Amino acid sequence: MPLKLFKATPFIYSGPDFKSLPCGVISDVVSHRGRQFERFLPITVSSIENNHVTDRLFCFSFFYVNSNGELVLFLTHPCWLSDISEKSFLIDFLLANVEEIARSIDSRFIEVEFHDKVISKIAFPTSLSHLSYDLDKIHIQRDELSILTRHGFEEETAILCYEQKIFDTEKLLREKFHSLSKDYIVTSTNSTRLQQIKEKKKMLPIRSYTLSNEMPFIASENLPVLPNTVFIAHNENDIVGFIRWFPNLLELLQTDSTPTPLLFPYVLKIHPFKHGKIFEWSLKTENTELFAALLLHILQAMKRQGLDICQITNVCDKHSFIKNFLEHYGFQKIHRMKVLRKKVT
Amino acid sequence: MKVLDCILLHPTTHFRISPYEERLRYVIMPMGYIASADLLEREGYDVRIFHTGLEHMCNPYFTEEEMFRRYEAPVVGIDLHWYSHAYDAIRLAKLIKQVSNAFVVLGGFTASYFAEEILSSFNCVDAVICGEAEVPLLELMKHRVNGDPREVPNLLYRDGGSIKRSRRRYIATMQDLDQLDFSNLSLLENWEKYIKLTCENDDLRPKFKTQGWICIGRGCSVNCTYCGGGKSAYRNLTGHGTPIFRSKKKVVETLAAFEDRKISCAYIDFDPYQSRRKFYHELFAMIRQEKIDISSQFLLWSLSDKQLLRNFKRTFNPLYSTITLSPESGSEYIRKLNKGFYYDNVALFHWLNHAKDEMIPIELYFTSGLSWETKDHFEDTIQLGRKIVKDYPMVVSNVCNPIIMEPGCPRFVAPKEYGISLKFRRFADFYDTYERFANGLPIRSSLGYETNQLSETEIIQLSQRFNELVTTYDDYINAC
Repeated sequence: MPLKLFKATPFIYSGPDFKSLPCGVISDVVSHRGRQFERFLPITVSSIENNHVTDRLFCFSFFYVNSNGELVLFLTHPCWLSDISEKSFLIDFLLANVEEIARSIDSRFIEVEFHDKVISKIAFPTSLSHLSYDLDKIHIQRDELSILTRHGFEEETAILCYEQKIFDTEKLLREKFHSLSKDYIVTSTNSTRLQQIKEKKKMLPIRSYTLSNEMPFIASENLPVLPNTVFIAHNENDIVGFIRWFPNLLELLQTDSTPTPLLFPYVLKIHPFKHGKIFEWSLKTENTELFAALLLHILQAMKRQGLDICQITNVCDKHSFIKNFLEHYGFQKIHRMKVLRKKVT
Repeated sequence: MKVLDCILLHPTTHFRISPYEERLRYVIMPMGYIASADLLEREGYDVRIFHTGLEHMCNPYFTEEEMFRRYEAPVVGIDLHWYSHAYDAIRLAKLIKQVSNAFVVLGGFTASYFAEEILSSFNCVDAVICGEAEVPLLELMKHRVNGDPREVPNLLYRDGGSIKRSRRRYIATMQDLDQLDFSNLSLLENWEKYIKLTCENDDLRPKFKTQGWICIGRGCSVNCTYCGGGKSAYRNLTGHGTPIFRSKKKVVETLAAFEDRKISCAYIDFDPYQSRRKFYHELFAMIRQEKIDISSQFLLWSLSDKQLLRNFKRTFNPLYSTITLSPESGSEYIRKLNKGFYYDNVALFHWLNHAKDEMIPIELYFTSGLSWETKDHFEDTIQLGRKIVKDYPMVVSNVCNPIIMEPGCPRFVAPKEYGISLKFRRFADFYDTYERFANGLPIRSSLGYETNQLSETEIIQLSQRFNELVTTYDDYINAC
């Protein structure tokens, strides 16, 4: 991974073996059909001019096994490291190599995460992967989408992120939901309990988008459970709702330059974050009151920590229930990310 | 067949795991090797470095015999700096003599320390350059034809049936070091692959960073009991009584060259004066001024103040930057008896707090088998390790390895004084052990010693115990 990347497009890595990134090696193994191989594959496209190598394009990629048991090679948004001349040629070159890699591992699908529209400051996590770029610094070129399409990539889904001021949302929700149902209670939880309910929450059908239900590869798996960041709604017998947020780690890049802030968990407790982001949520039924109850607990927790803005991501474009709810309560759409997919022949 | 003036070979330690599998270890070259080759090239000699282990990694069908069918030179140099290459360096020397008439010369600390024994025991070696080798190797090239070997500085050579020492001594000055170029990696075959090796036991598996080893200076101001590169050893082997530094300007030039070669991390391991860190403050300022974009693995030999950490953080790209410190023992008593730079645990925690404040990832190294260390003392090491994992999540590496006996260290020179029973005394002992490793045969000793308090097995088990009990992700979660 070229050094220039961190300067040009700062990012945060929060994935497996994050402790080893400063040592230059992160290791995680994918097992698929009796074979094992390294999960991560950072790809840099360089050009040679006058005997001098110049890094041009970077793409953080990795393998994962999707919910259908298929091995997928996933590419995060390609980042330009120098001038963007010969754009089409360089992307063609990248994709040709990626296809070759996919074939060599017998991976039949390639997916690309493409940041299609960014309207506001996007909080961490900004990606479906473990690598979140500061999207303020990324050069989004919409014509790259047409290059991908030319290569046979088709839109699989669009993922949306919304935001709203905490104060405003809380006020609106409290007006509407002043007395909440007694059919369930909402409690904050810790990492031990989170581990215990891991399988149960996967069974809830109305949920945030995630690359795979297959373990072990969930984008949030390495995030520590900070106090009041995970809430569960449960009735006597069962879990009926779940919601999780995290402070915007990208704010740390402005003051304490590090790609691995999780190495410094005490900073998470003392830094005056402005944004918080809900990235994981699930419900047993399309119950607006239940979702409002979970959201209110999160908003209170964010407010107590002095945050101003709440964002909620991993809302699939097809999730009309959640989209309608958020838009009804004043949330603005600020980020659209497309997942494009291609079958490797 | 390409005819060169000089071939420089880097040996590698081979460990046979099974009849069908072997592992390559100790794959990093001494920094002076590149500088030696570059000096020859600048003086008009056609020279090439071959890292035999790297060639094996790049091509599983590689053989040295095949290499010597493609390249020939009248002089072949082999580095024998680290004892772990004792067998492979001699194996290569024997092979060269089988396939050519080349003059075979060894260099490096291990070769220097055991020069007489090597020349007495192995006819395949024609000479050993003792001490610093860059200028002597150049002089050897000049005097080889119709010259007088007595004029080649630092040379121990075979003359008929006897072994003779040249009459000239070469000790590099700061100006000499500044004449050397440590960055001309293109003289090494497959150098683009070499920079992907980031530690001594590495291989070519894909990784995120590339690494270059940068020479800042030579020598040390103290004697740690276990170190073969301490003050006394340096004086004995090279003649340097005090450490010498390269100029900051030259160091910056090397870093700029590293950046050009896409080396993302500079490994900096030279910190001989705790009280004189002005050099680094000024060097860091120059690196910032020149806008060199590089990360650094920076090895501190003793604790620093907060300002050095702050300047480090300001200077290097944080992506692959870490600071490494080796407290060695959790027992202050044992640390004081063994380390040249002493600090107590309170000072260590104070320093770790500074590193935490500056958000710098830290690598820590501990060891077992120190002189006078008992199992009880080692409990202190485990306790310290566990406390660090719990309280300092930014410690990204926290490992313990048993000390291996290094030729020329105080414990090797005067074992009784340090409560040591040596199992490796002569070059032949190192040679025999690494030959057995290479052939997958049982060994007599892997560490080369035991202490009055601990057997060799116990020393190894203590390190294993540390690594089992310390460093778990659960500790990280608890720390959160």
